[in-house]
Amino acid sequence: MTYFWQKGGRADHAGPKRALTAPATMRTTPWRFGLKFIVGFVLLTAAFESSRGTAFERFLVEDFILKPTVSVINTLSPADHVELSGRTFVSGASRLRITRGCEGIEMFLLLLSAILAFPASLPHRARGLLLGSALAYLLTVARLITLHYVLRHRPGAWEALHGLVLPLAPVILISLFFMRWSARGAAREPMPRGPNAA
Amino acid sequence: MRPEWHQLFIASLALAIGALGAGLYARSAVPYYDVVARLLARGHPWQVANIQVKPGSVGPGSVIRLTGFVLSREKAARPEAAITADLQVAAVVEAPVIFWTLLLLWPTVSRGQRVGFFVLGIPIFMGLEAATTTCQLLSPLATASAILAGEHNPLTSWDRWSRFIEGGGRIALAIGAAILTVTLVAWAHRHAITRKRASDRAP
Repeated sequence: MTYFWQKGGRADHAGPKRALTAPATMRTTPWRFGLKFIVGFVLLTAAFESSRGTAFERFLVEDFILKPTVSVINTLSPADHVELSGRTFVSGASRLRITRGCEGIEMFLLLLSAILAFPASLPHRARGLLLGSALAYLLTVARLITLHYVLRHRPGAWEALHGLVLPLAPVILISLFFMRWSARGAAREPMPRGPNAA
Repeated sequence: MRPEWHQLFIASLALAIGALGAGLYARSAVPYYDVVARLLARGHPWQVANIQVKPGSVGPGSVIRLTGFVLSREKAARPEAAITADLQVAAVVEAPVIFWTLLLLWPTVSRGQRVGFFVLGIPIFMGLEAATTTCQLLSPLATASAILAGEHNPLTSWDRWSRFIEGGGRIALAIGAAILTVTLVAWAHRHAITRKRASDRAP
């Protein structure tokens, strides 16, 4: 697989004119991708932040993420009797408040910005968004479940897991998904035929 | 080893190092945050008393705590409010873990380019830390200033920036900073090669 930042693809040996119409992996540079990614992320975050307090945001965070998470925890360990009070998981003495940045929305936004910033065909982009969003959703729910169990049963491990490992581990997995998706898109895209094609 | 497994291994290693060394990193970085916070506070009616690593007051874990004062105006004799701002130590480590891991994993054409990543990476990383952690620590001072100025429930630009960082902006900025470093080093590398070729051709 050739990632977009790697050289050595066919387009590199095909001369300057052909390189202009090279496959998707070669049509972007890290700088261009990085700029589009950051701008896209800022815009998406601003849009989501402006929706705070609306029915859409409440549906997304509470109905779509938090309620199913509580159901999964209660299925896995009924003795915990977790209840959702506002945006807090209440279980005996443990209270896990899900605040801004803990709901996992940023994972969707990071993935969405990366997929939008990368040059790809519409079907491939749609496939990436669909599969990536499903992965991001599963990782978000898994992360919240883990946070609940850590707070309730291993509070000593809270700092490292809550602050660093649990926010970053899903991002790493999403990044690996993105790299695979971007490399596959390039592999499927046919090489252009033109006057300079070999 | 397939590249994905190699990347996963390095990233997991970086996470483990970050988790184990978070406290040490925070204590080492505090003097830098202190200097930058004092610089950023200039021109505002704020006084930064100190920045320290302390046990968290809410829940387990330790925090980086800024203690400061807000004055009614920049040269006022007595402070109007005393403020403490806390940031979780583990959250602060996110940026260095992402930034340096990306630079470590990024493919290079020579060892010189990798060294270039690290040499140029240091000032860019210091800028990243100033823009993320230090700005977040100063954000409550801006809120207190706005309240003292008579605003009810204010949302300052510092607050907006702080929320952006909390909502994944720290990760996005760390990725952007790493890409900026890579781009600048690649540009310098190409420039050096062009100059070398030109000098080789010269009689």
